[in-house]
Parts: sequence; C-alpha cells; structure tokens
Amino acid sequence: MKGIVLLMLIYLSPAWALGDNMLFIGPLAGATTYSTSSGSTNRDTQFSYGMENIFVHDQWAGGLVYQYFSPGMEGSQTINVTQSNHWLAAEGKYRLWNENFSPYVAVGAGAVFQTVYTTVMGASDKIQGTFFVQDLGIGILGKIADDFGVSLSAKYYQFSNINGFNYFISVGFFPSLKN
Amino acid sequence: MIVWWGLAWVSVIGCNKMAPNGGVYRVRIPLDDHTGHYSLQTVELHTVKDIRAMAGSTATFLADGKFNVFAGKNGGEQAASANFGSTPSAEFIDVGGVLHPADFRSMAMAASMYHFESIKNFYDRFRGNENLKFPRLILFNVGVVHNFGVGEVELVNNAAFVPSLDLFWINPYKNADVPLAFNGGALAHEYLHSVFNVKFHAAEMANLEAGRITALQARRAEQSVAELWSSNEWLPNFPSFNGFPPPPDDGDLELGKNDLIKINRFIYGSLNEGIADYYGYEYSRNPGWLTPSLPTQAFRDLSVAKDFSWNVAGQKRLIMQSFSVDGAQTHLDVHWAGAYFSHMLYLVSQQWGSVDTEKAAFNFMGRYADKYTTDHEKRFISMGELVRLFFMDRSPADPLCQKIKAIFSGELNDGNFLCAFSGGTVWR
Repeated sequence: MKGIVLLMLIYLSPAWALGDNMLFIGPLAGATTYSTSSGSTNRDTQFSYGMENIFVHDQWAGGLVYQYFSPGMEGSQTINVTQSNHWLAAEGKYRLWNENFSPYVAVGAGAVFQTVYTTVMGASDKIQGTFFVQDLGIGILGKIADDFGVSLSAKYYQFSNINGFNYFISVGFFPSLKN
Repeated sequence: MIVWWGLAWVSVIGCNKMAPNGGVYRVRIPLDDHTGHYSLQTVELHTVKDIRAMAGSTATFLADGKFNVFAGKNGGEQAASANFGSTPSAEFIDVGGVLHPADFRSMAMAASMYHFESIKNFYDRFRGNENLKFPRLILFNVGVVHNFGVGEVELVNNAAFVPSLDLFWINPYKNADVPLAFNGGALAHEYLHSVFNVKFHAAEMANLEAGRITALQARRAEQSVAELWSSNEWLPNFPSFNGFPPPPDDGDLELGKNDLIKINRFIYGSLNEGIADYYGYEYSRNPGWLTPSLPTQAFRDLSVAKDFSWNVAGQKRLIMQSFSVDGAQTHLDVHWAGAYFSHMLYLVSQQWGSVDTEKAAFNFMGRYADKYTTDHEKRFISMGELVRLFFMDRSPADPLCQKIKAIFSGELNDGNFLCAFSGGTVWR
C-alpha cells in the first residue's frame, strides 16, 4: 500500500509538466460515519486520517486518497473485537470553474483493506479482508498561499454492506507545475 | 469512464451478496465448552435467510431500539414510548466459506442466532415450542430506560422475554465479563419464560372454558403475571446474595385478597425464574452458566447447596415484608427465591436423568399454572406445595428425597412429605 502511494507521488512529481497544471499533496483528517442498522439514527462515527494527492489540469483533477479509520475495541474485556480499515481510492474530480477555490464533484473507487482482531478469554484471532469501495462526493480546493492549499471534502461511500459519509480537511503543498 | 463505473457497480452488486451454501451459513463465534470457558468455534446456521439482516425462520433481529418504561398499575410496567429498532447491517469477512464477524455487534448477533436455533431444537424434544410463533423477534442492543419517579435508569447487563410483546430483548452489556448475547444458558433461560407464558395462557383458557374461573378472574390472573420485574434488574450490577437468613418465629399472618395476589405473584415469578435457570443448565450443561456473565449471581449456580428454612407462615411474612419498603422489592428478588427450586431440579436431574426431569418440569408448569389461575386469589401457594406438586406423579426416592427435604427444611420436615421406597409403594 505504501508502495502504491509512493508510486503515485513519483508519477505525479513536478518533473512531469503539462501546461497550467497543479499538484496538491497533503495530510488529511476527518471523520467517517455510518448507520449501525438500516434506517437507524444510531450511527457509528470514527476519526479518520491519511493523505491526499490531487493532480489538477484546468477543470479536471484526479489522484489518490488514503485514509485509516478504526472504531477501536468493542465489546467487553473478556470478549471483544477490534476492526481497523485502510481505505485507498483513486478519485476523479470535476471543478465547476477554473478559478481558485472552485467547488468540485468527485467520484472514486478503490479498496478497503480490513483487519479484524477477535479476542475471547485471552486468545486472539486475526482475519483480513478486502472490499471494493466506491464514493461520490463534493468538495472545494484552492490555494491559500503561493505553494500551499487546502482541500475540503464530503462524500457518500459504500463498501461491503456499509453505507456512510466521510468528511475531511486536507492542508498541503500545492505548487503549480512548470512547463 | 462510463464503462468503468458500470463494471464497478456490477462488482459491487456481486460483492454484496452473502448467500448461504446449501442453505447453511458457517460462522465463527465464541462458544462455551460447558465449563464457563469460551473459545472461537465454527458453527452452522441452518434457518437464516439473510445473514446480514439477521433474519431467519427461527429468529429475526432488530437493533438499536429504545423503550421508555414507567410504573403501571398492579406493580407492572408500561411503555411510554417504544422504538423496536431497525434491520441490522451485520458485517462478515468470508474466508474459505466461513464467515468471520467483522465487528462485535455482528459477532454477538450471530452467536445469539446460533443459540436460538439450538434452543428451539432443544425445546422441540419435549414439544416445548407448541403454540409459539416463529420467527421469534429479538431486539438487540435495545436501550430500555426506566422512569419510576426516582430519575432515569438505563437497563444494562440484562436480557429478557417481554410477555406482552412476545419478544426478547438483549440490553447493552457494560461489564468486563462474557456479554449475555454469547451466553447460551442465559438465552435458554429467557426462552423458557416464553414457553411458560404459553402454558400459563393454556391453563387459564382451560379453566375459563370449564367454568372454574370467571372472565374477570382470568383477566386478573393475566394481569398479575403480565410483567414480572424486580427493581434489582435495573441496577447496573446485580448485588450478590448468600441465601435467606433463618426465619423468626412470629406466627401466621392473615392476608386479604390483594395481598394474596401479590405474594402468589411473587411465588409465580420465583418459580418461573427457578425453572428458567434449570433449563439454562440443561441447555448449556453447566450449572454455573450465569457466572461468566454475572459473577455476583453466583448464588444461582444450580450446584451450590441451599437451605430454604422458611415455613408457610414465614414465607408470607418474608414476601410481605419486602413489599413494605417504599413499595419496591429492594431486598427480595424472584431470582434468589427461584434459585432454591432450580437447585432442587438440578439434583433431580442427577438422579432421574436430564430427559425425564425436563419432561417432568414441563408437565409441572402446566399443573402449576392450572392451580395458580384457580387459587391465586383464595390462598397462599407455598414453596413446599410447589415441591409436592412437582412430585405428584413420581415421588423421589432416597437419597434424593432427603436432599430435597434439606433444601426446603422449613416446610418438608413436618412429616407430610414422604419419600418413595425402592421396591415399595410410591406415595402420592
């Protein structure tokens, strides 16, 4: 996973120039929330953090987003489950206008790599699974200084039988790429 | 882009299916090894139609509901508001055809579903499921808030059968021990309440149709057992108990009809809890099935020796005394009184065998319900009388008989409870 992210960064390095292009890369922090049962107001909300990288060309943009979230240990001291999720997705964005702080719509797809630790009376079991994930969202992206920018995102996502909302803010390096 | 998204949606639809294999789901859940030690084991679910929605022909789950309950008339309870909950979204990771729960809730519901399937089969052996409706409805992680005029108290660390709604609920578990959703004995205990409920209604209707009770008496009998709650059930941690103290010698107590109804209702509740504890033992094969989940309830271990030394007059005083403390049963719990009866059934089971004792207890429930509906307003039906009623068809032979006399020493040592003699005449 780290290899994939690194590959993306190298691929979109400032050495690859295409006219008035920009590259955003920065850490993100936010939350992911989903209903614990169909139609219920009972929701599980977890802090998420990760990294976002966006290549911008005029009104089009695309890149990779990585997030980690985990509900932490659930259950009792005697019987409990800890779930952790690594979410890696490729996203395509369309900026509504080609100006600074233009809102955008985005679609994404990727994978959630889930690890589940189950502990029963001191004995632990580890299981891993991979789920296809897709999302649809909106956001806003813009520069706040010469080479720095901010990205705000809100999206609806789905993987396995989880349907929820994800929100995050990302502040990072946002230089223009020279021709 | 469009083709790519189309492929993505197709693959999503494919991934969302979690169909059973030949009608059977194999799931990994914590199970007891009959000694109170739990470990992860792979089990099969045979009656589940949708594992993610936790829906099947034996049981169906709803999750995250909320009830607000207040004190009703006649010592019962009423719901001020009721949200039964929503269809669950259980998550699993499929590894080689075995579903591993991906979170705690899914694991707890899968374990409860497994136990309900097994428990149904358990009660099928002696027609215990007659007139029960399936699938049974189970409310998982339901919040029940109690408003009895002293502030709000949330019910936790508990599971219950609710007779008026004919459903089960499993409340949030906040202790460090084994959550009740995994405790098969606890679920079999609650299931018994639904079986006893049916037996009670059948006896009530039979007496009504035979003219032995009036419609008004039938309604009063129904109301008296509609909801049986102890204020102790609302406490986050059940207090521990070591047995009732020896009774004082205060003589008999004259009781009016309303008091008779109250104390007979308490005995009904105690018997209900005692028999439920017994069936919890027979299902789990562990007399201490409750201790891994609620260690303070160790007195209810069926193998622990007990002595109920209160005679008939003493029992009346003991029960009436508890009602005098702010109108709530603060130190007398139906579970404690029931523990004496469950201990007796445990000893009987060691001598007669599980199958004979389960059938005897099942038949006894009907006989007792019959007696209760006709007599509960007229006279006190004591613990000793219940014991005699249980052994009506088959008297216990020594050494079992002596053990039973020792448990109910207050009533059964007066010479009118005789033991059967091997090879001799059986006294009825």
